Amino acid sequence: MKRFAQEYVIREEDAENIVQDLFLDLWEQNIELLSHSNLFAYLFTSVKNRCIDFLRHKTTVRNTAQKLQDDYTKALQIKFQSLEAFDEQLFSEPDIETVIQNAIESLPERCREIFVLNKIEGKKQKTIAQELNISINTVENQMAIAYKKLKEILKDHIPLLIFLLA
Amino acid sequence: MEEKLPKYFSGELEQSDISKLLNEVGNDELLQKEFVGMQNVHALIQLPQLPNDEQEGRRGFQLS
Repeated sequence: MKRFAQEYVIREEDAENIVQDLFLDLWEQNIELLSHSNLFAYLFTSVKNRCIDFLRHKTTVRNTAQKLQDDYTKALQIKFQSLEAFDEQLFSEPDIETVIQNAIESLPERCREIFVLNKIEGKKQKTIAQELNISINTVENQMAIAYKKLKEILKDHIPLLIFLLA
Repeated sequence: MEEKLPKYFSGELEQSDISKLLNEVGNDELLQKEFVGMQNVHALIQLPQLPNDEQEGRRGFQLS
């Protein structure tokens, strides 16, 4: 039966587990094998069904893993593009930290509050919405506004960012 | 799709939405530009020092 299962599930250890689990279940359920009129058919149908379950599960897991891997590759590609656009001469700006801090400070009050809670304090948008008693849509909109404004402010302060953030 | 970008950079987008967004970024040049811009703003705002940085650095050093 193990060899039969292995023809389908490929790996010997998986075939062994399937057959062992079947016999373990039969033993635990105290099923009297000899009472089955066609023992051979019963065992092979059980192994077949277990192999089908195994293959179905494996296929789903593999497909999901492949999809995640595809997303990861796409994310790496766009990160690569972003970093290529990043001009390291930007760091010749003598006090870039202060420029960035000032840019955050210059955001409208509500917008800054939400941005700092999310990006600096690391709070989830849902938590911020609950804390400030506003809708999650408002948080999302304010975050989008914050990014847009920061982009504009930083562009004005650091001419090189015109290319970086275009 | 553009409205999904802040959530993506906050790490709060569902996996299915991440897939859709990344697909769209690959096919839409304008969205791609927007992504690159936001990615770089996001990276820049990580530069200022945060209160826990020193503690985290020490922990990382001790672990390694």
